[in-house]
Amino acid sequence: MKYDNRAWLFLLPALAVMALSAFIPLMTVVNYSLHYIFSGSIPEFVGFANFVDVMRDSAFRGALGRQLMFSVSILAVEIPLGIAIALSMPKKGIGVAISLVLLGIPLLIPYNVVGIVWRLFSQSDIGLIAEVMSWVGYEYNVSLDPVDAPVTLFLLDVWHWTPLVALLSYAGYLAIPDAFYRAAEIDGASRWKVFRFVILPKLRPVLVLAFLLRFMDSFKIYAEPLLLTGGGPGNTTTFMSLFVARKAQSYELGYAGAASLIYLFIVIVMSYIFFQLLNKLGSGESQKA
Amino acid sequence: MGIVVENVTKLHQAGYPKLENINLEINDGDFSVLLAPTGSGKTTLLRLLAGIEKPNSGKIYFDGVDVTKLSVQKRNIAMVYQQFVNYPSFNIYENIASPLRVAKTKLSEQEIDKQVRANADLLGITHILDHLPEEVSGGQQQRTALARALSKGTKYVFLDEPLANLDYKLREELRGELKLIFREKGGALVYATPEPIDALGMASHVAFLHKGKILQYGPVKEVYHNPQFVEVGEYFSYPTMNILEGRKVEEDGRLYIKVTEQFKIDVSRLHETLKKDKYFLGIHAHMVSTNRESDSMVEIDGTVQLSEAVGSDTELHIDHRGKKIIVLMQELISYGIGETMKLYLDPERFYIFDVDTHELCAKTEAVQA
Amino acid sequence: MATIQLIDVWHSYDIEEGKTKKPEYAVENINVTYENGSAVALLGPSGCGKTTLLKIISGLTTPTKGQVLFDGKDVTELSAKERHIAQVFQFPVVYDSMNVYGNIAFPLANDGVDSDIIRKRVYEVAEILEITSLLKVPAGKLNPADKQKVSLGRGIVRPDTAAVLLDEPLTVIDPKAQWDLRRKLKQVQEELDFTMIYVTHDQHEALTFAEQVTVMQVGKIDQTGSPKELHENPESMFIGYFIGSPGMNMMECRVESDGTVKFNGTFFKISKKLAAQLLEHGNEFTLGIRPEYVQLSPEKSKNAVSGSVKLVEDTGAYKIVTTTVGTLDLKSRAPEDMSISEGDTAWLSFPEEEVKFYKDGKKVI
Repeated sequence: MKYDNRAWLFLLPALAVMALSAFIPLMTVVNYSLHYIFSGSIPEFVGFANFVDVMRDSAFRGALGRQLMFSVSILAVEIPLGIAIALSMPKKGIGVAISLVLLGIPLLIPYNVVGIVWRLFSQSDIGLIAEVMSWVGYEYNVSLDPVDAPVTLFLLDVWHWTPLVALLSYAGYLAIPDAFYRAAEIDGASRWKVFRFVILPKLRPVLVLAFLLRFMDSFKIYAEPLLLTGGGPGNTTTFMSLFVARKAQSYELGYAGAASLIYLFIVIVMSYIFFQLLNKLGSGESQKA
Repeated sequence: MGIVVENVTKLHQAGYPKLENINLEINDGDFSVLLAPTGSGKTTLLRLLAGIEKPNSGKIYFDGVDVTKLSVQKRNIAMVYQQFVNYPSFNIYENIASPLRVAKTKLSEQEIDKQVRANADLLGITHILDHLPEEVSGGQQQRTALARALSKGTKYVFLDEPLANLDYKLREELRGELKLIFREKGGALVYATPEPIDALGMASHVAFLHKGKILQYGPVKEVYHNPQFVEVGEYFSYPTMNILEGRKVEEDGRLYIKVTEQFKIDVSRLHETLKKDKYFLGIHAHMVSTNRESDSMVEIDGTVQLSEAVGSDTELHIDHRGKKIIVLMQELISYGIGETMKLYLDPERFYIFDVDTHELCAKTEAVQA
Repeated sequence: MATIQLIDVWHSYDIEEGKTKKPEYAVENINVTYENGSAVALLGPSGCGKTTLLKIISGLTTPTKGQVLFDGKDVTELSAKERHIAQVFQFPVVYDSMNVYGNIAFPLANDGVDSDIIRKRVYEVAEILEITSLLKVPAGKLNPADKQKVSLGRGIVRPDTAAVLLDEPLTVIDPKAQWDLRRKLKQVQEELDFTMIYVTHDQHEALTFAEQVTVMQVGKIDQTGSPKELHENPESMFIGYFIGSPGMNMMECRVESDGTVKFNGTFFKISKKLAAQLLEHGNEFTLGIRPEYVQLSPEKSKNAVSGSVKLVEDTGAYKIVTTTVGTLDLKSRAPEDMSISEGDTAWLSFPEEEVKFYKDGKKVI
């Protein structure tokens, strides 16, 4: 029994770090959310009034709506594209190393550098995108056009993060024992059937992970839109985290606190729902029996 | 002298007993087997003896000294596990030498060498002394572990299913060898295994564990011929003993225990002892024959479920009117599934157990061995 | 159902990968025939080539040299599907996202068979395998033994299946469930009369399942025959050792023309006729005799050698006695009621009909 208790002491340093970097700030936010705070003035306890304000605010709902659109569209593209890339990567030989390196590059670049590189790409005067677009007669302007901006951001994210889905899928794909393909071959399954009944079910755990990671990550996207367009033009690329951050920067701390908590709640609930759905989806797909 | 276990109980994490009221007396020179199916607590009992775990209540004595609270290191024992545990960075020689190097009394290099070679010789691994454990086969790794246990030179050696991860042929070989090796050594050996054949072949004494209790402990021959409980009789047998439930009936002035219309055994001689209506009948698989060897034998019909080749013997699994019977035949013979045949039972070879208490009530004539 | 023949089959992975200089062969000089409807086992220690042989029979591997014939037709170049081979793997292969019905129906569905016929056939197969109650259960949720049954079901559902190949199918099965699955495999083979080839390193599995056992060692076939043949008449010393428990007793000996067989400082006599036959091959041999055939007696007997009893292992049904003769340990069986203990002197005799003589590992007589 002596030994069990001593083990807790080993956890203290880690617990201390966690407390400092996560727990205490979280409590601070909760505290803010329950008060009216303006710079200089004394905070006034208002209960849930901030929460009500946030949910009534059309600006908040707008940002949330744009965020959802963004996350849904990148998931719809990154997941299938990642799988497709993984399946077409070589399984053996020098090609493996080359593909892994190429896929790794976008993932290794720091977020803000990604943002800056794409800002250069998207500059209407010297950028590569504007130039290429002009060949097809399209006038591309990321800072003024409300369609160009989110689309560019979308492409940025796909470029940046599809490799993660691809790498996860590739690992899962390689783990599928050869025997399954042999069995499917003997059973006379077409390539599509092999994909549907062997590969996809075996990739499910990995895909659930990839899906959740991308969902949660995209939901908090911050540095890239900030650097690419500063949230504009207008608010077309102002997604949730930028929205809340701006509110906090303008000292509407109560509002910002409430907004972040609602934001956190939404992410948790949606992740949970997706997780349950995705796990149920894979098993039990039955034929008539 | 020896190991004495007094009223030891060990509880599960959840509170219910894993081992209950264990009492054992293992004398010097004994080769004791703890026999039980997997999960019955024999590993736990071994760990309690070694000192890796401490009992919740009760005491353990080594040579009259209370060691219950003593740690593993202080008990001076050697233990061999199922998974061959050797120092991966030492070669076989160094592995065997390791206990000698850390011994309290300083030994000269020559003495160490002598002992290492002697032990390696006993275990038949002299030719691989310069190899690393990962370079040799599983069987050789386990022999190294055994040699190292010998080097430790402790009086008591505990073995936890050491042959379980070895293939069939190796198990067969090592079984005989273990008995001889440890006989040379002296002290006492406690060996945990779920295989009755290990106990039958090697041990001097056997303790049968069932649901955390020792149902019977004694010399192997004694326990084999006089199983106190039906669980003991059934399990401590190669292959398992046939146990069938029957009713006591009177027919034509004679008393029978009847399992089916055909399968009835005359127990008139025991009418004083058998007072209940139902009993378990037990008969060893090698006592069931496919030939009528005498007129008194009871004939029953059966259908073959499977004829299994076990070493040089055949275990024939028969279904007789829904009852399962195993016959051991000392040759390799094959029967098709579904084949019908006749079996012969010698009415003088039965054990009779009480259905409620599971205790041995009586034995028919010839079994009084 | 087909008769499978392997003619002069050799295979080298080295050659397959392009290394043609001093290639190592995984299997050499394989010539064997498995009649239609037989239960076959490929038995041998790991690395003996049995898995390679299975792959050659199934079509997964095309042999470097030689032919594979199904019912006389050369299928060497054909794939597994084209040969109508079904395979059960070491670990259960089922389509997790489908239920048991879907799994078993899958091959027929891919063949475009009418759904009514599929339904009938799947139910037939499920009944034979005793898994009818599991048809609606998602395959991923089954225990390993049931998954293997489903695998087998997929293998036998097609009427034109030539053979079912099983690669150590009991490997991941819990010991308690093994008996049931072993029995089920044998039952299916006997009832449906399929040619079933079972690869294993476990002699218990091989001898229980098969009518014909092919024992392999380092890429070559040592012997192929019924379990009883292999047990009674091993062609090689390896088989004498490997099959049966305990393994065969082996002693180096020298034969003389008067019938004396000298070994380890002692001797016994065989007939002059047998001696003459042996001497045609030389005069030094390894004598092999199964423990069950060694006659053990506590009393001096004719033409017997004496030794000291080193070990008595009592199984309850019989005793296995190890007697040291000279420096050699010989094992024999003694009946349960024989009173014999360690340290006693015992007399062993070797009936001529049961003694085998080997030279260079192979049987001479």
